[in-house]
Amino acid sequence: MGRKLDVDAQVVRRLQNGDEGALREAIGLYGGVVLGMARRILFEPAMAEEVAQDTFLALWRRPGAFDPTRGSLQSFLLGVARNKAIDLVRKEEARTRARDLLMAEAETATTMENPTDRLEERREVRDALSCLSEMQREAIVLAYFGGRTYREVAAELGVPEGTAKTRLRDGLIKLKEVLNKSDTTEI
Amino acid sequence: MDRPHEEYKDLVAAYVLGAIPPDELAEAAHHIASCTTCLEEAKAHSDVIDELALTIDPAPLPAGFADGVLALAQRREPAPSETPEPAGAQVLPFRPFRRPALSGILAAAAAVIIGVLGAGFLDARSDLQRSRQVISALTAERGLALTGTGGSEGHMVPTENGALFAAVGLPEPPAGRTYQLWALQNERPLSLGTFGVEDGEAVVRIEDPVEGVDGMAVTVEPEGGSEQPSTDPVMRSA
Repeated sequence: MGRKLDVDAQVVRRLQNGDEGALREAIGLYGGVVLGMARRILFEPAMAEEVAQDTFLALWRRPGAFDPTRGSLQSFLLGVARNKAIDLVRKEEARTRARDLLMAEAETATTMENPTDRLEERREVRDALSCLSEMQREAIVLAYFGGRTYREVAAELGVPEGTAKTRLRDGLIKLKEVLNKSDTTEI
Repeated sequence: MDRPHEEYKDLVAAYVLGAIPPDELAEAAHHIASCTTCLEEAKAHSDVIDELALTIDPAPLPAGFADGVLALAQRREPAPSETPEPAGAQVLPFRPFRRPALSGILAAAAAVIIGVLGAGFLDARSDLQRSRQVISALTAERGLALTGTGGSEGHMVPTENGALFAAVGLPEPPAGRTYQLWALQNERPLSLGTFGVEDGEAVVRIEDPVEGVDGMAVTVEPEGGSEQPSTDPVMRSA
């Protein structure tokens, strides 16, 4: 884990020196998940690709915005991509297109097989998500992947606003519990 | 104006998820920034949320994706370096202008809330109104506010190991020029680095402790920065 952060810090230093090779490297390492995040939120490939490219452009323009003490470069990029995608989703047209697909995903909690790396981590978090109650999972999926405010979550799920807030909170707490438990059993 | 903690408690999870509506955002940020309990909860949620990102399946990049990014990057001036002055520059004690000295606890709290929001939060939100509210809420608790031409605003918030400077409303600097951030002590300017602008927003992370600052200013300088400000500030603190 320490070495990974060193690699991240190195890439960022090179970016700060205007090294285009470092940008290509970052794209090579994280382009797939960044595009994946954009697709997960927007569904439409053209918009998703634009958001993904804008994410790396933002990294290029402001590499100093990444703080290695706060997490990995991957987390940072995924956060930027998610925010950019959510900004788009909050515009009406994109939202309507994505809504049905999003609700369908929220109702299921399938673990998909995918022959790429980080499979174990992905499965672990997906399994953790399936441990939540359906109501908690729906709320979190709508907020995290759908960019809904808690008021919109309440409206879409047909519950009072207080309930929506509580489900988000309880869902995150439960997720943390499950993930911490699975961490210790792996030792 | 401060409602009891009970009323905000349930908002923390929503806040970290980015699920607070714009009209409530500043107030929520303000409370969380000043409440240790909520800050700790925010930090815990933030760790879990990072894990949620791991559920994403990577998508195959279309051909020419990287070339496309580089083409966009080269369309404007390359991003100026954001690193602060090299070692040898004097480190001055930080003293927020006309505000009481920060305690260690508050500085740590500021670091957490910045970490929870992330410079990435400031980076990606295209809604300047929202960004301004959040930044103002944080600066009201601690830090230094700057005002500039054309309604632009800047805020400096100290963090655990240094400080974070965020500005909104600055236009792109002219070709061949860059913005440069200065800390002022007894009117003497110390460079904190150069920076660029994206979608009207700029973020500079200052990695060394900066202390004893009476004020701050932003000037437009030739690309690569200057030893001393060569133009009048486009933004400065009171």
